[in-house]
Amino acid sequence: MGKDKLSPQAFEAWLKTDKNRNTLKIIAGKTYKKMELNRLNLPGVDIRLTTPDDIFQELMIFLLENEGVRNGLIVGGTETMKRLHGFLWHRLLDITRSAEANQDIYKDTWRLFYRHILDVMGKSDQFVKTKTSSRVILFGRTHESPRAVVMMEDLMDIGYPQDLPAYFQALNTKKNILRLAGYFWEQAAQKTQEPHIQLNVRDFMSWIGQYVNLSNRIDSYPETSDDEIPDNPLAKACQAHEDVMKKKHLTAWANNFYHLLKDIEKKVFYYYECKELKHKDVAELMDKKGNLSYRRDKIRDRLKAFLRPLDWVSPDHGNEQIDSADFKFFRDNLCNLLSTAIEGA
Amino acid sequence: MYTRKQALAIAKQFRTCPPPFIQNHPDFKTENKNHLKICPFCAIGSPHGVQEWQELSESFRTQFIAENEQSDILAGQIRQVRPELGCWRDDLYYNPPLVLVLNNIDETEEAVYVAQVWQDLALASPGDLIPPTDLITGFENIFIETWNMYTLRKNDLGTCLGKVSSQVVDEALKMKEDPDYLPDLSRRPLPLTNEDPRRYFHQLEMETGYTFSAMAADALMDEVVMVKTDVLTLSVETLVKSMKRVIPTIDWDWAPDTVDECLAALKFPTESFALRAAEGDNKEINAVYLELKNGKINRIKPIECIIHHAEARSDSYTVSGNIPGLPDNLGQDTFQCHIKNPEKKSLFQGHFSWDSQGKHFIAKFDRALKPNETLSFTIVNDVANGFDQ
Repeated sequence: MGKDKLSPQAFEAWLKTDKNRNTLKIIAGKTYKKMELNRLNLPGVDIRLTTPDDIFQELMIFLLENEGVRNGLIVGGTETMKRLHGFLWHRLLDITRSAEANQDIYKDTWRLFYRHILDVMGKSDQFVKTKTSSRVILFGRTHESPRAVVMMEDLMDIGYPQDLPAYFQALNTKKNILRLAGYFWEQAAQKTQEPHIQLNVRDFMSWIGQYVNLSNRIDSYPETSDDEIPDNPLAKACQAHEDVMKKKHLTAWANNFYHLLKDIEKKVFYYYECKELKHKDVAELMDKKGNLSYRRDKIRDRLKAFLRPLDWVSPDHGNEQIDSADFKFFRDNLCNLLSTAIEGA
Repeated sequence: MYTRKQALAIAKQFRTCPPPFIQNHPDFKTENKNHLKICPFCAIGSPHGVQEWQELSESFRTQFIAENEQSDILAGQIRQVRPELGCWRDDLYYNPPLVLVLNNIDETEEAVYVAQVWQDLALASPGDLIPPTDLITGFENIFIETWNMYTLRKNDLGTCLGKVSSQVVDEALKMKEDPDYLPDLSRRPLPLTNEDPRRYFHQLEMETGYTFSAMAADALMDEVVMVKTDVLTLSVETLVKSMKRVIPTIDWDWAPDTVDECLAALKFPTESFALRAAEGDNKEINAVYLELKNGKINRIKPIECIIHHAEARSDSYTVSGNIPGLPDNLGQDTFQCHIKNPEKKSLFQGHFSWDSQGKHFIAKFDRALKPNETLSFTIVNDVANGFDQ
């Protein structure tokens, strides 16, 4: 690369051209929307206290301060996006913890627990900590690089040990944290056949979060998991907003899949999946001698491929169950479109 | 928590959504409209901002990358397929991928053998080679899809963005030959699970590779020198060059001196053989099938001949069987058969009888088949004069 051309001043001037500013504003706006949709209002402060313009400013600073991002820009790949999303996540956390947001760390269970884990691990001779280039802290038994590529989702189905407490206050002791980390590390190493596995502390907490309530408002929650969670007005407001967004998206996706199907496929899908007719009846309606199950199966495969990267209608990781109401909403929308097209309104 | 599902969503947008300059292009109004109808990401406003990042990258590259970086094409380079080759197919806009160059090419060669690569290790799966960071330059992470190698024109390749060591290239080619092989230098992806997003990523990558390799193959064939049905009248050099343009890794049992040898002594690369289970006790040989269209080589491929019966005598050798994969109504003069002796570099011609209805054949040779000799069948089909499949 022409290094002389890429001085910080030249880069800044390039970044601030109208065209690039506009592009960055679009990115900031979309990132904001995604954060809003995913309720990245941790810990306890609504995303709506920030604005897309704040995110734009942060983006500009991030791009100017991080030389590594420039390489990402050359490639234009996913790495840059991931880094940026990660950055924005942490940046947003900082914003929500600002004085204006009036956050008290001692009411922020997640953050408190994170610090405690780091402190316990740091003083222990059972684990070593490694800090990656993107400031992620990993723990393992050795500093040797693992050979296996492991995603946290590969480990989410590790069960919680029965001999450790599954509520926060009891778990949050030095002894229990070390026992749990040791257990999780052993299970992960065994599951992935990776003797040098290193685990992200935040991922470890995500795994714990499946079994132990680490919610940001835990101070007001009952300590036993059997009791109903009390009303949280902020969570409620966000939930209503998410439901509207979700339905909007699911409706759009039903429309997309409808348009992906050819006319004959629309009928096959409609008769089999919406009306749940038998082979014989479908063949008769379609004026075919043989049954159309092969074609139906191909459409099912296409539907699976279509849905796999989408929120709500396919599992986020592993074999977890999705909310069947979301899939039903999608399917009903699709069937309504097909019904209108095939049977008339 | 970043998941493979999120990684797949981003990959799908990078690969198949139009970048902003295409979205806003007046010539593509219909295509963009059709894309919006079927794309679950664009339909909700492309939440990840993928297209905008691409646009920013493109602007950055134009501004800061010097022209002189477009040096010789060498094995180990990671190059972008030229952005202007992005194209519409089935209402998706295929964005040009990054590829690893696998062979050195000289000025006279047009074709280059490449492997598609991807940067997000979340989507790496068995069959991918993940080089360690000290053997890569220009990228933090990358993996090589050894199951997704194909041929492009050298002019299809754009900016060189990074490199891997020659050892990585060699190991990638070994993995291509033996999908169970994982070199010590590679990191190890975990096995696929049932509904693993990586399965769908494979589909996406194959479609992307197909889009650009098919385009290159068409273009390469357009450049092939005129080859008529009387292919046998061409010079050996011309024919060898033409065939290499269609399949760069094609080889011969020995350097051919005649056009007959050019066809009969031809060896296909292993990737040309479709994977199939062994069927019964029948023996098979692979014939060379050369298809011509409008006077040009349209296709070269191995075609399976099933041998039902072989009779060896002191003064003759006869085999019979069928070739189910051939088009109907091929003429008798389409076929040739030889006994091939790679040690002596010699061919002995036989008589080939073809029953086009039953797709049966009898090949008869007026001498015995010796040890170390094999049979070779060639089929030259001009679909402009004959019958397409």
